[in-house]
Amino acid sequence: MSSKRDPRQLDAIRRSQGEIGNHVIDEYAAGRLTRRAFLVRGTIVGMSVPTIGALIAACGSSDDAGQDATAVDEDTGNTEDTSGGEDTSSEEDTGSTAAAALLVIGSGTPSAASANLDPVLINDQNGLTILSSVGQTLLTSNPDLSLSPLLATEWSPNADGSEWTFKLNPAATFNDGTPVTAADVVATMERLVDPDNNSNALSAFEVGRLSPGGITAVDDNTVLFRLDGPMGNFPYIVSSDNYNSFVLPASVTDTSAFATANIPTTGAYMIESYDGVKGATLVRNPNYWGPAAPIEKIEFQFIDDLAAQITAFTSGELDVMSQFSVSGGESLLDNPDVNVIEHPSTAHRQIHLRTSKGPFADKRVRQALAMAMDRGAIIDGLFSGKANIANDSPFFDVFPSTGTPVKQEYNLDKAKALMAEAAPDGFDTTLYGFGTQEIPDLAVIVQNAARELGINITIEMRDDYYDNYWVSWDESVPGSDIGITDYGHRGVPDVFLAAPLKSADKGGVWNGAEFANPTYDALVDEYSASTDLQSQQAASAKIQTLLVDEVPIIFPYNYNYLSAVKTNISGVVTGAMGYVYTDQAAKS
Amino acid sequence: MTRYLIRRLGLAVITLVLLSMVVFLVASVLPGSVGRAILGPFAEQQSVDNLNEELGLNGPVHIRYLRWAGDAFRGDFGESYKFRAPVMDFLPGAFVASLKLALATLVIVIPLGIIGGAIAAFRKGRPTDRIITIVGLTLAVTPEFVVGIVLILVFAVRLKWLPPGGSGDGTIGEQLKAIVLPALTLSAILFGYIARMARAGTINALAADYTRTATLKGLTWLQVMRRHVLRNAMLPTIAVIASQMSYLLGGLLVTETMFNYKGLGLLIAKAAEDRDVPMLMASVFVVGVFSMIMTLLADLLTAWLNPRVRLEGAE
Repeated sequence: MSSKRDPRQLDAIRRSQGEIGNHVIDEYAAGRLTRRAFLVRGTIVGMSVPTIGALIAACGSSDDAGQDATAVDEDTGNTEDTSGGEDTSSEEDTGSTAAAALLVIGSGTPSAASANLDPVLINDQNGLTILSSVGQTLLTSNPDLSLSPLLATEWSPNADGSEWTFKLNPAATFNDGTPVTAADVVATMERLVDPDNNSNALSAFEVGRLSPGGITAVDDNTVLFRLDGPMGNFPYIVSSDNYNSFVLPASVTDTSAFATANIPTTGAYMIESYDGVKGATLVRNPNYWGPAAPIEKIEFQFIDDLAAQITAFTSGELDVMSQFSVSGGESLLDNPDVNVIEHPSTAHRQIHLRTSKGPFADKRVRQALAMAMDRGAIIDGLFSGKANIANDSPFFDVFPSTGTPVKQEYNLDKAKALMAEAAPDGFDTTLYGFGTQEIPDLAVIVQNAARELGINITIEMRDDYYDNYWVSWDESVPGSDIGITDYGHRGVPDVFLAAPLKSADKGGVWNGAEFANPTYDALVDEYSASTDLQSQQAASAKIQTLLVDEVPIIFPYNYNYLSAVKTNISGVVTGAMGYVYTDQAAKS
Repeated sequence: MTRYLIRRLGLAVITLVLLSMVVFLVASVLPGSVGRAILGPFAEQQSVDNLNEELGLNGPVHIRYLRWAGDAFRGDFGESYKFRAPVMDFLPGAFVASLKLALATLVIVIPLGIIGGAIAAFRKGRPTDRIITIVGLTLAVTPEFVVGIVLILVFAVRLKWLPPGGSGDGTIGEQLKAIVLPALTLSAILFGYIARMARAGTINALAADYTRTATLKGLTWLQVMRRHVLRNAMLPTIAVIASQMSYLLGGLLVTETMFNYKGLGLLIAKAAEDRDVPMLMASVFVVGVFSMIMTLLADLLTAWLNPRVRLEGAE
């Protein structure tokens, strides 16, 4: 690769990059970053895909460059679809499918918080599925975990990553034709970080170290985020990863009736009608600043029951199913009329083990239970292999910052030996959880694994799990010794590292394990402040080693995100967060 | 008759008040806080507390009930916690949807059930009777999701004649198409009950003295059937049909879920799931009122058909 490096081109690009950007380039040029990691790290510090492509070409042979360019295109294919940017092929699509009238998408009913599609409150993928055609964030977090421009075209940190500057796309407009300005971004973000607004994004911004008053409009097209400390992955916090951060006009003061209030948005579609019980209809935004969407209308039908949704899909009532699970959705996997879109995601389950008191306070018991779980068999059984083994830390294989994973071993003999030392008589306990998707099955698997160790588990799937048995919010709330919690996809592990695992007074707001470890807290701070991949991987290795040893939480797997699209539909892009991008969808 | 009516109406009001109290109490003591249910598991606790305060959920249950009852008495069922909009924006649509489904079901099942029951009674002990009875019982004990799935697979997935469900919106033709399969599913469940009651009533009426008397005094077979047999045979059948109306209106969770039919059953289930107490209360109240009205109508119809009931009520 280095044999055909073009130093002049490299230098020219270097001059346009800051300190952190140049460090990323150095690491790639020195061969310490893979192309994929370079793509992800490069986009985090604000390099454009063409720049990354040019750097890959400049650092490699011509043959390599060709392959690399292909790889970049593949990796970011959806990026260009969703950015409304310069993709000429999508303009061709627009011309050839202009007559297409309607695309029907099936999804579940939005949750109570998402019922009015209020971007401040929205908290589930069913609401997000609709909003992803309507609103836009500064950046897009792609399925390959890279970032790409959307409302912002450039972004860069200061030397230590405590300040991030975003340049807005001057072409971006709301659907009433007014341009998107820095004042709109400031108002949007300030609304989200204000604790009085009950914003669903508070936790994300807490991890992102952004406080009220930290956002400034430098000029009409430039926004400066001053953080409370360095944060290497901050761009993800204002990307589609943080789905509450859809930019709205500064003049908007009340978002509570968003679904019906005709609030201007920037996406390719606008809400025409909305019924929180039945569904929604979107129409093409006539003032869309990107390439016009080929499909005239998008209809969303709310169908909660997976079997009913699959029936509607296979009988032709639906064109797209925003998500389905392997369990119950087997018939779609080998159906020749269906294109299954599959993304590796970081959505996962956490089995917390209370470390502060009770039977799991002894580290050896936690280790024993973790070692007694045959994760390969679990993902085969629950997901037909469409999941990945996790190793008791949120550093899933898919994150570049994971580096070389520290593995949790499956060793029943060792697990029994640990139990013989720690609790030779075994014990009884109750496992709590919220009985959704495969969680009840996972609970039974944990129960069976524990039985091998002499632990007798009673399972209670409860509607009030999140109120009473997840986190002991105060003394009146019992929490639980062991419980299963579901977590959605994130492009970086920062939220997973902080909220469920840091000490309660250090930001561990979802710390059901009551894990309090100053070394861990310091390591996570070190990780979050790191702006280059090597430093992140170094911190990650230490965090993984600590967590695999301490096991406050068993992370058994992260599962793939599955969507189904009819074979006559093209251009639909889904994201593991729950996005369904339709701006370049076409129907033949 | 007027006193009978007044007494029944008085009982209905008392029943409704008790129903509202029980539902409110149960909704209030359900595990989990409303704020958490609305904002979701990952919302900050402070936000949850703020919302609970904002919704006025921190006061004693009886005060909150009295406030609700006062508003409801004035016809104001309040705002949905979930949608932050008046409950009445959602309730009429779901009620009408359920009513349409109930009526479509009754249009199919009443003639089929009564005719089937009557034929079985006339053919008592013969193969026709056995076939009708066994088919009716088999359908009655077959879970609706089994009947529904078979109908969906045959008519929606395989033949593609009908949609596999839907909200029943659109043109009348589209609404009719969407309602056929759920109505057939429910008809299959109810056919056995109605046919059995119609059969038993007809057998009793055929064996009754007044039928023999009517026949002996020279009335034609048709006159005997119309004036004496069917009129009396229908009494228990009407009671069964009336009792099924409240089930058809608010208890169709499985059928509505399977066909994604947005009726009252789904609305009640979602309201309970979301701890949306105003929506839950109003929905249950509507089902309660409807159930009372249907029962009352059934009783009045029974009284009209059977003078003995009328006279007992008057006494």
